[in-house]
Amino acid sequence: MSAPQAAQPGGAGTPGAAEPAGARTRSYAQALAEALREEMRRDPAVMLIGEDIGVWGGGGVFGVTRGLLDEFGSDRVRDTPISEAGFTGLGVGAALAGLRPVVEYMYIDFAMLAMDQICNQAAKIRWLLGGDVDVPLVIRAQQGAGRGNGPQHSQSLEAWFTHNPGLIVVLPSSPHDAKGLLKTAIRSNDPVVFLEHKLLYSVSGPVPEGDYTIPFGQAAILREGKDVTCVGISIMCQKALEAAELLAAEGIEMEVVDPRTLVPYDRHTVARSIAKTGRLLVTHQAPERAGVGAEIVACALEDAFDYFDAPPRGSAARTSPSRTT
Amino acid sequence: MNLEAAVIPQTEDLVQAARRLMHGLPPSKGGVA
Repeated sequence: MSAPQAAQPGGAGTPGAAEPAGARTRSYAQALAEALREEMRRDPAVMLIGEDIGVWGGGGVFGVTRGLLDEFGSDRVRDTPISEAGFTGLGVGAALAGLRPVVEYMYIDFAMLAMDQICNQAAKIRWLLGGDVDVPLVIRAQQGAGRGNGPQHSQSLEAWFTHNPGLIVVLPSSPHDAKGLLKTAIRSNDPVVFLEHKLLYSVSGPVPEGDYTIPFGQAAILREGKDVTCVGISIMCQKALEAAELLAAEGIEMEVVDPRTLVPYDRHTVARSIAKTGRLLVTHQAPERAGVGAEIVACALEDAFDYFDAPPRGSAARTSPSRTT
Repeated sequence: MNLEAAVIPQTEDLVQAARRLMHGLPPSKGGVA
């Protein structure tokens, strides 16, 4: 994760919109819905593609697109057959033709059916054409375990996309970040894989009203501490905050860092935190073997080796399919 | 028994990992560190 976007022709377009004053309480799902609605109102090129996102009244599995068909019509809210490879290709083509499609999978597990379109086409077209084309495509999906959905509907696949050059990888851990990062993703001129967590949709928090964006590659320090740095991915930021509260009661101050985006990755904020604490814990819900935690530790050792007071540790899922009772 | 919860990291795993980092306890053998 050595800042791959810096070498990418075109780079990530992150035109900024300053954060407005005043926030209301919204759920993670509502924050995502606000981002989609506001971006569709702002830019007529933004359109949605996916299974059951429109005509079926629910608005996708978790209701994020509910009501958008009524406001924007079927040209901009496209229901599709059950064919991830096909409609991802539709999204790639639409992006090349000047639209800003947001493709939704019901579960990230189904992205496996479309990996050629994602990794061989969307991720590489700019590189194949010398940087002369934009691919403003967003792929949204929820992932993760904890809901009893079984091994084919509970995986966390951020490492797959992080490994593949040409993709931006985003994992918002709060309603505030979900809205701001999705707006940045939609305005990006490079393909973005936007990974939501299924257990976060009902989590509520402050969300500013109106337009704001969050730059890619800028980590957030969710809680300050002087003893241990904990880098959490997605929902594990919430678990890390809970753990930090428990540890505080016994005198251990754990700093919680959310990278927000894995590509580009803000290794500098993590290194600065380790320089303060001398200890690193990395946690994600994806399996431990070859997970992004290994890359985060590798970057930290390169950047802050002299500051470590203890070997870095990881806390991830066992390398096993998710189990359901 | 919730088998799904048994394979993914929980809050308590993070608490224990942070304690080990602070107090120098040896890593656990296998499974979630």
